[in-house]
Amino acid sequence: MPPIVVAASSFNPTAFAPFPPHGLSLRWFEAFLGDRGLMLGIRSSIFFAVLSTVFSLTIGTLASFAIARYDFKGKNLLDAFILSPLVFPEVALGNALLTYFTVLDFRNHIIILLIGQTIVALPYVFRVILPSFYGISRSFEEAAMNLGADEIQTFLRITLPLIKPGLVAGAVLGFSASFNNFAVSVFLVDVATQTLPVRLMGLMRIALDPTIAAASTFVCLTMVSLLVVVEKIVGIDKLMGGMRWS
Amino acid sequence: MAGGRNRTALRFKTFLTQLAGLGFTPYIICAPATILLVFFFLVPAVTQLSMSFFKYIPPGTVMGKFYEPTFTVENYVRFSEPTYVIGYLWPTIKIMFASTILGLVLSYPLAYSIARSSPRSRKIFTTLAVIALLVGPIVRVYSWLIVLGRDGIINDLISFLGFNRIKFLGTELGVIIGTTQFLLAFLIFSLSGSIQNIDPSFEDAARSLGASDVHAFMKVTLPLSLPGISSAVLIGLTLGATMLETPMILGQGITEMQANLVFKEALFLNYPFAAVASIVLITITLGISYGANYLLKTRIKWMKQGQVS
Repeated sequence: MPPIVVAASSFNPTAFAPFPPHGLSLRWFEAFLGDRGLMLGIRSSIFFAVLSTVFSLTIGTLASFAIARYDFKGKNLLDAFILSPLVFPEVALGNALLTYFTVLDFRNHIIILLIGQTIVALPYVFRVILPSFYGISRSFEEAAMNLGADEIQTFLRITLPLIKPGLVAGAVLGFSASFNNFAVSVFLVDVATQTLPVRLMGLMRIALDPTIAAASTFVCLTMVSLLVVVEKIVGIDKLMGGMRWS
Repeated sequence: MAGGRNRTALRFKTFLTQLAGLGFTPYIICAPATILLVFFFLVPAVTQLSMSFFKYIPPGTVMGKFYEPTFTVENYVRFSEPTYVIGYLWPTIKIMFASTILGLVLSYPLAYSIARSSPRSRKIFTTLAVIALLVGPIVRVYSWLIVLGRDGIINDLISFLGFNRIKFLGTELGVIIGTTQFLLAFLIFSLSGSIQNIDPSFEDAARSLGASDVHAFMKVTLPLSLPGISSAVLIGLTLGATMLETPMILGQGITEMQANLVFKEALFLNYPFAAVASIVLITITLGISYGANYLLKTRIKWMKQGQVS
C-alpha cells in the first residue's frame, strides 16, 4: 500500500491537480522550474543535505570505528546515545535547538540548520556503518600494520575501502534524512536558508497547486535514483538494515 | 607561514599520539560525535526543562525579550486547561492508538505472507517500502492531500457506489489514515521479522494433529507472535505520537496534534509554553517505552507462573 500512494503523486504532475490525471501536460513542470522560491529551496536543501551527510558520515564512521574496534568504558552508553535522536521526537529537537540558540543569541542560521540536520542524519548513518565494521576481517588491518603502515594509513587505505558498501548506504540514508527533513528544519530555517520541504509545506497550506506535485515528482525521482545507485554498488539489504526500527 | 602551520600540526599530532599511547584512543575518536550530541542535543533538551519554568512575556510588552528567567509553574498550569488537553493531547492519544491498531490489523496479514514467502518476494517488498519511506514526509502527505480531497479518487469511488462524499481533510479520520499509512511500513517489517522467527513446523504440527488452518493459526502462531506484536505496537505508538507534517496538512488546522502545538507556540515566540508542550510530548514517548518495558516484565512473570502451574 505505501508505494501505491507515492506512485499516485508521481502521476499527478503531468496533469491538473486531481488524481487520476485529466490529461497530460508538462506545464506544471515548467512552473516548477520557473518558481524562484522552489529553485532556491532545492539549492538550499542540496547544500545542507550534502554537508550534513559529509559531517554525519565522518562523525559516524569515527564513532563506529571506536565502538567496533575498542572496548572502553561508556561504550554501550555512547552507542545508545548516538541512536537516541531516533527515539526523540523531531519536533522537540527542533524546538529545543531553536530555543537554545535564541537564548545564546547565536544567529548564524546556516550553522544552526547544519547542526540540526547532522544530528538527524547521524543515527541513520551510524546504524548502517557500525555493522559493516563487524563484517570485515581484522586480519587485513593487521597485515597492513605488519607491513609497516601506521594506524592512520591503515585506516584510510584498507579499512575505509572495505566498508565502502556501508558508507554508501549510510550516505544515501543520511542524505535522504537530511534532504527530506521537515520537523527539525522548519524551526531552524530563516528566509535565506529555506529548504525545499519547508517551502513545499508552506505552499501546501495555501493551495493545491500542482506545481507542488511537480516538485514532489522531482523529489521522488531523486530519491529513487539514489536508491538505484545504492543497488548498483551495494544491494538493498544493507539499506534495509538501516531502515529497520530496532 | 607554512612553517608555523606545520609545526602546530606536528605538535597536535604528537599530543594525540601521546594520548593514544595512554589508551585514550577510543575517546579521541569518539570525541566529535560526543561533543556534537552533548552540546547540541543533550544540553538543549535539558534547557527545555528550565525554559518551561520561565515566564512568558508577550512580544511588544517589553522590548526585545519575550521570556524572563524566573521560576513559575504558570505554563504547566496553562497546559492543563481544557483548550490544550482536549484540543491537542486528547486527539494525539486517540490518533496514536487508532492508527496503531488499524495499522496492526492491516499489516499483520501482509507481514504473515511476506514472512512465509520466498526471499525474492521479500526483497521486492523491501524495495517498495524503502522507496515509499525514502521520498520523505512532504511527498507522502501531499499525495494523501490529493487522494482524500472532496474530488479525490476515494470520494469519486464512494459517490460512484452511491454514497455521499465524505469529508476527510480536516477530520481526525483523515489524519488517522495518513498516519496509518506511514506506520504500515514499520509495522510490517517489525511483524514479519518476528513471524519469520516462528518455526512453521509448529503450525504444521498442529494441523497434522487435526486442527484446521484457522484453528492452527489462532492457537499456535498468533500467541507465539505476541512479543512481535507488542514491539510493533511500541513502534507504532511512539512514531504516531510525534507526527507533525501529517496533522498539519491533513488536519488543516482543525485537527491538530501535540507536535502542532509545539510548533505553533514556537512560531508565536512563546518559548516557555512551547517547552512545556515539548516536554509533554517527550513524556508520552518515553512513557510508552518504559510502560512497555514494565508490561514486558510483568508478562514474563505471568508467563512463568503459567508454566509452573
